[in-house]
Amino acid sequence: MNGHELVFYGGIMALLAVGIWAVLSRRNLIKAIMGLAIIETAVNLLLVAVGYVSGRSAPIVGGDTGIGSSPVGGVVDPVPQALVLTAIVISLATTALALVAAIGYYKHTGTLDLKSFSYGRTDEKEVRK
Amino acid sequence: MTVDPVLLIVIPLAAAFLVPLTSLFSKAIARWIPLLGLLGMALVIGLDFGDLYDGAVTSTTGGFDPPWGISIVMTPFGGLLAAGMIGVALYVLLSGVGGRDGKNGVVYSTMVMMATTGGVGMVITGDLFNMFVFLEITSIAGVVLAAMPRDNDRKGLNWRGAAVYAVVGGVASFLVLAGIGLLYGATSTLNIAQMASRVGDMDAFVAGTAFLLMLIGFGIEAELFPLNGWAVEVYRGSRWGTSSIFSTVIGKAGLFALLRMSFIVIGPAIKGDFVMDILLWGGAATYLFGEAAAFTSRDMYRMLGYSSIGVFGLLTASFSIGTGDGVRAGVLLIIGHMLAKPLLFSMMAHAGRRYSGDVPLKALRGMIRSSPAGALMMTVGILALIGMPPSPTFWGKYFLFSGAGSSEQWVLVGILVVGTVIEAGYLGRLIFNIFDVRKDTRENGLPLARGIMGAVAVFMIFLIGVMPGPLHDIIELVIRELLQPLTYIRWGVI
Repeated sequence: MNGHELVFYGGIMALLAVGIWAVLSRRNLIKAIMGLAIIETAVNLLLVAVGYVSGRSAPIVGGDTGIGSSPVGGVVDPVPQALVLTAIVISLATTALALVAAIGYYKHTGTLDLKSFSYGRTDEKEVRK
Repeated sequence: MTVDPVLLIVIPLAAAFLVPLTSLFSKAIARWIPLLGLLGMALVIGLDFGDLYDGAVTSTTGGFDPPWGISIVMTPFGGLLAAGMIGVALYVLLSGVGGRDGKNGVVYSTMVMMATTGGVGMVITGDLFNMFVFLEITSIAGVVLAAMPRDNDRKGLNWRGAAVYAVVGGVASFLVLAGIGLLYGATSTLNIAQMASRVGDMDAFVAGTAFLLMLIGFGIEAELFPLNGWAVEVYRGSRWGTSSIFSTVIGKAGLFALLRMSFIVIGPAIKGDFVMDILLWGGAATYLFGEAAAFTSRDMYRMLGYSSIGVFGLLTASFSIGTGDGVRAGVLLIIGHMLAKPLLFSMMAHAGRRYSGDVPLKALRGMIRSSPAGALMMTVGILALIGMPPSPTFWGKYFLFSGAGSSEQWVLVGILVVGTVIEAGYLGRLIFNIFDVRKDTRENGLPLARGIMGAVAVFMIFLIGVMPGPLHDIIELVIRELLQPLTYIRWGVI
């Protein structure tokens, strides 16, 4: 494993550990959702790392910017980068939806703390129509 | 007659786009669109079903042959599951016809359709990243469904379930994606069949790490122990239709994905029985946990939810025996569960509709007098779930005991006996309450649509229980598909 890979995979492991720790240990829903976002970032970084080839340029063929002027053989694997784009869009949706659920939970319970939720007494009284 | 299986994705997606547009003009029309979308899916799977007896029904997208483009590989196993999922979704929506939709009826029916689309997509796609996208569609629809409260619920249980599932489901999806990334790095392809053909080059450590990530990710979706804490929160706070979709569509799709990857790709990459052993004993532990937790539950939504968790364990263990009888058992148990569980959820919800929050067992008391048709159908559903003949679950458990016995898995046989006794114990309590008539029993007539759909489920239970023969040939293909990776590779490399 060379220096670049060490930085990539070390960073991924660290981010993943922080994210999973946040999801598992935080009682506050917002902090758990932040943990989820960190996990998503770690996985996106993993996908980029999988397709990275040392010394090659961005996978944009042609163009005048200088970034993408390499021939096809001189670029990194473009497939993981396309996957990351899709994954980022999906993670935006999942994070937004999780926040909506957190707001709904807060409105009904007055707290974001998952463990302080009280189920209350089992309501066995019939609701009179 | 064969139609392109990609229509199973195109039709519901087009319908989902039409719903908000049509809602601008007429909500009365918009609320029928998801049902029409599901009927379109049923038509497609109905027309293609006969071809599944000859192998997989395949399709390419965008004019790119695999592995360059995304391919659809509807195998016999995937096709059977897709048909079941569409059937359950139709059961849920048709049961509500003519009745009160509850709040947000249009959104609810659209999300039922989208969760089903995601589940169907997961079982028919031939591309691993595409499977992740469908997993996310299922998860997002699942969160919205979980957030919708039951009619009388004012406690916010639904939001708790939705919030927990949003976080846990999100983690599950991205752990799966991490596993996909590792597998892509090792094989340079996302096409599942091509990936399976390249497992010989895969490093065992990479394969093991990918397996761990997918076991956790798909295991969360398939409600496997100890990854199923979220599921009970969802079952406790959601509508009966949502509970049915989670237990028979979303969970089954997760289980299918776990089995597909374990049997076709990762299992062959890691030599020996390591993968199958983990799944077998993890499944057995889930079965015991689910049944024991269901036995101690006082709320019927939780009881049936834990029962579903137990069934997921049973299914995982069945398939992981790794023999023909194990696969036969798994397929028949899936069919039995898909027929009985929505029936039980719908009848239980009807009996407990006057309760807010938890629904105790006594809600069923005297049901045989208050709602005789519902009581009889629910009793049939309970007996079918336990495995009384004639029912698909009976045949499933017969093959399961036979498979475990012939493989000399005596510990597993013991676990199956204990689990079945516990299951009969708590489900028997439901029957006892149904027939426990008291003076204060009030009439609680079953809505017509729910009664008709219940009768259809009961008819199917008896039909498949008495005549499982027509399924024989397709189940033999499922055995080949799962136990002989080369079969899937031939189907997948179009």
